[in-house]
Amino acid sequence: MDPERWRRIDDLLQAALDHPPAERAEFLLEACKGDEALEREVSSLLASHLAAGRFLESPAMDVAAAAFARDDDASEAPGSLAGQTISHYRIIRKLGGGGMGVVYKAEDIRLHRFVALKFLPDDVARDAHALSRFQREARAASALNHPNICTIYDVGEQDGRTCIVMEHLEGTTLKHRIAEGPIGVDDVVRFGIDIVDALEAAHAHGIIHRDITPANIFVTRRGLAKVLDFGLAQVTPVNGHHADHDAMPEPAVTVEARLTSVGSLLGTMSYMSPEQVRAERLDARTDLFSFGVVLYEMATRTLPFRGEVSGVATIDSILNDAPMSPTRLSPGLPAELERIIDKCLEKKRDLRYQHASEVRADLQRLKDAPGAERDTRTHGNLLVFVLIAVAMMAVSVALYFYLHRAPRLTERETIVLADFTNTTGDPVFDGTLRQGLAIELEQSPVISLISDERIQKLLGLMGQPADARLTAERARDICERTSSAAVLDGSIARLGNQYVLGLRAKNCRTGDVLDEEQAQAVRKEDVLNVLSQIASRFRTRVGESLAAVEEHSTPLEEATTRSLEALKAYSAGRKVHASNGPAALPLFKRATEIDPKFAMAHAFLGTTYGELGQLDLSAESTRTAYQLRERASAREAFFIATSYDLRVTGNLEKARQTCDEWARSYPRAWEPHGFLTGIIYPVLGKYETAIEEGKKTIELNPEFAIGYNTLALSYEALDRLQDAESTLQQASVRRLELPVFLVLRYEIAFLRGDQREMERLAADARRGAGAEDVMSPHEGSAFAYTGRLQQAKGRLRRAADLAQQTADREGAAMYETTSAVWDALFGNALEARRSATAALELSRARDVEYGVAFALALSGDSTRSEVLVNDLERRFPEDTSARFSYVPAIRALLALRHGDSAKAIELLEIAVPYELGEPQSSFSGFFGSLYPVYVRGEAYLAAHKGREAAGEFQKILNHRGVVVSDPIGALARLELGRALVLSGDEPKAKTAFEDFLALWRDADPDLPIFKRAKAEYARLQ
Amino acid sequence: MRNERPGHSLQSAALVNEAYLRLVDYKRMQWQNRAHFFAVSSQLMRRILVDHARRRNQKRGAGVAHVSLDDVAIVGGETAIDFVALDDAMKALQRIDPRKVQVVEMKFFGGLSVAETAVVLRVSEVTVMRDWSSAKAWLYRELTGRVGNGP
Repeated sequence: MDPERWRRIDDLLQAALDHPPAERAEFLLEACKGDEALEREVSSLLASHLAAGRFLESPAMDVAAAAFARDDDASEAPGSLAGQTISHYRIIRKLGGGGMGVVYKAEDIRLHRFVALKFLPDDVARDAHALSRFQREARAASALNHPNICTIYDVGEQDGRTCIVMEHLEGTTLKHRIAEGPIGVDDVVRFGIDIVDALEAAHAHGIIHRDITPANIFVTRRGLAKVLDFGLAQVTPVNGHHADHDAMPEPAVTVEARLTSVGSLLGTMSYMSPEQVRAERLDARTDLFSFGVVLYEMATRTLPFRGEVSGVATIDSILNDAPMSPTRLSPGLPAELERIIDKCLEKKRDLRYQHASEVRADLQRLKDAPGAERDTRTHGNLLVFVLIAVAMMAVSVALYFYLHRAPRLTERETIVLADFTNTTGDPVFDGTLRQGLAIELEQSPVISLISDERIQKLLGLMGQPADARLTAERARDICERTSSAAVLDGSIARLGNQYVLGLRAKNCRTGDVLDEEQAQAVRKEDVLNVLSQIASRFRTRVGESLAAVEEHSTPLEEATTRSLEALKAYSAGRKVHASNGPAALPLFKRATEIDPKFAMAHAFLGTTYGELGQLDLSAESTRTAYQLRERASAREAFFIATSYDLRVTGNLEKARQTCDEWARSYPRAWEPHGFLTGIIYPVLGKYETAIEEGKKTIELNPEFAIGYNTLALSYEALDRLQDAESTLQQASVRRLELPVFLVLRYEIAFLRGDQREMERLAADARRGAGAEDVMSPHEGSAFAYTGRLQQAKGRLRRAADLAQQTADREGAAMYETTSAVWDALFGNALEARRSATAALELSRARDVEYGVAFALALSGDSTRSEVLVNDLERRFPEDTSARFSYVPAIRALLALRHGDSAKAIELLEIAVPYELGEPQSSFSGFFGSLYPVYVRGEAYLAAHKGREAAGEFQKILNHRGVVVSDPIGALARLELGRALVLSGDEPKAKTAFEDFLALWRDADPDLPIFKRAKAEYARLQ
Repeated sequence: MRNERPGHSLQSAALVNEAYLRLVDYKRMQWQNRAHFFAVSSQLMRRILVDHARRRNQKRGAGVAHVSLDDVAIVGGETAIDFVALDDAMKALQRIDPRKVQVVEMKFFGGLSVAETAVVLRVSEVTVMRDWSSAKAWLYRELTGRVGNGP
């Protein structure tokens, strides 16, 4: 049968069941439409459904417990032992049976007293290992001699049958007593004191009972309570070295090692303490918890933890739920008794009574003088959640191995789990982290943990005590000895009022760190969240496919959105975006549609729109994200704020502050450094700092290809071409190549005057590298630099065509604008104005408006230029490039047009702090670098201030690394010449002119500026 | 000159190697993880019981290994179950309908109620009940060897 067919059958089955029984046959006939096989199939299931009756309706635990008990009974033919003699005991009759084995009354032939013989359950008796352990413990327990303990006299054996010889008691078990009817408060207290006395005595001998239940407590005819079956419990070393810490948890399930059979184990779950449920190492306080349960039950005749159905829900209840207040159930109970019960039932051992004598004292006091206050309860929620989150982490580790397993291995990979380092001083974390990890790892089909027993043995071989701390070093040693695959170790530490969690998986053969995670949590409660974050990063980092992860684990729900659907869309979007930005658009959109308050989805929507050149939508989404940033995590909020500063307001000083704070708060985050080096500092002209940030970015994220490029660009800006090249080399070594690297190499070749290299790289770009669109404007720029405007514009047109192909209007607009600027600079006013108009039709983006306004101002259309600059000021009041570069440059040009050079110079003062920076219009090789300087030079020229003008143009020539191939770099020579003429330095002026003309030897002859230059030079002769 | 397009801001490429922390809603997480806890525990329970049953069968010998339901007496309201056979049947069901197996794990092995199972598996209670009845019918049929018309 395949799933498809089954689906059909199932649907029909359910449909049939929806009909009244009488109509089912008919319904089927019709629905199956002649498919007899199908009809028979569904019919048989219907029959099965009827016959099944109570099948599976009782929980497995109860069934199993009953079955095992029955097996024990069945292996004993009733009364078959009566009359027989075991050792010197003559069996009289059977007293009872249960999960713990059958009990007979017998007579001690030698001492002539009655005894009780308890025969071990079969499965225990057959296990030699368990048997010998039992015998050792029984011997130890027989030392207990206390009125409230059912004394064990002996261990009898004969013909392969082993039994415990114990005190014969007349009376009834507490279990029956409770079932019979309510127990008065006085009796409850009295029994309580009896039991606790017994515990005190046993604990003093280092014996923990582990199974305190009403079935194990006997109430004699005289009303004395006696605890039974001590000898079957756990014996711990007497010297007080009890488990205060859960350093080495027992393996999750070792049924065979227990001396109680599974059946009775299952039945007494309701009395188990949290640490028992979690199979941690137990101590005396475990008994006190179980005692608390018994007290509760005596007082209220109900179980505190979900008694009826034993199973997982009970476990959960023990770990998490607060029991209903006893006084609510039995209104007559003294408040003090409730307090005592509560204290016994504390989930955390440290909060319970630490000693049986303490309980006794309180009970005694109650007996003598009832009445006290209530304690407050605490809940042990945190631990379970820590466990579970750690479990998630374990799943991902398991997955890692699953996906990376060596082909030859058919067995599981083994891992050594080192002890977690807990330096927080809070015992809540002791052992729990490791414990949770262990439990979950054991679930995996491909991983197994080296057992604690084996670890102990190996530690012994290593000359260490068995309970030595399993440090990472020792774990590694063990890992190698057992040919395990890896060591896993973790840590939790305090950092101020925060917690820092770490997890590391190390391949112990090679020492390679397979994965490492670290995260910070603010409060204890957030430790959970952070662990789950580690888990999911763990998963991403080891390169699992999304499908595999979903298949194997429950997805985490996250709170930057309340909707799982939105999160899925967002996550998918992020994944897609990483390799193919624009394709993620619909995914992010969907995320924001499902959850309109999903801040990060909006932020990335903004990013994606930006990449598509849709700047208005980009700004809108980013703005929305910014408004919602409170809902995002602190770290995300930084990203959102930075995006907002960069995309919406353009306020780079603010962005710089945000990024600085971001870097301070998250020292390992590379993104703030990336933004600082990539955009912020270059625009501000702070190249040295940009270099520092660039190095930091690469250090924190060595695989970030663009980081190398921006660092190299900053080196270029400072004319450190060698350093720029070696940075690109570093990237190559890591096999990180981007098309834009070609462009940078082209610029470097340009700056070195290496024509051939330039041609080679340009050809490369056209051919295989897929970088033609990025390369073209730079080629064009190089042509324009040497006056070959036609060719330059040809390149721009090529780039514009490529942009049109991808519907990139903003890109196409920028190429038109650049064309306009070059035309304007070279004196082609008409051309300039035409291109300017075309550009504006394509886009009103900030940089487009700037370039157009500049070109128009240069080519005499002051009116339109003025309109645009006003628009820029209005729309971008905070934008750094606009305020300090664009607007001053344009207004100065306009002032020059009106003959007011003094005003022009004044207007340009604001540009001074950032004038050596690269405004955003200059990105991608367009225009704008040092334009304010150029304009100031023109203003000085107009004011006949030759020396000052020369100073400005010289500045341009001194910063080739920033200007690169922008035509003003060439024109600066010419203007320098003019300035020198003005200042009276003719020889130098001539040199400057010659420089320029040499550079422009192949220039288009009809360019107005060229013609003028030649004429002026001629006048100098 | 910089080589980032104004639109192609650093951010787009910046996030190729992203690793942002995603904060988790604590309250929702609680809920989610309890679900996971229940799921894992139920599976664990199944394993324990089945493993133990297998071991008991081994000790007793093949004769008692597969008790068919027909042979079993009803004791105290609990129908005895052959856990090993049930486990095998569940594995077979797993191949064609994993969710039904989950329901059985939760309800039968985990002892969860219909409502709790619905919450853990994130389906409606009606779905749980339907799955439950179908699964029971199928498993019962498998265990009693009353085969309908095979695959």
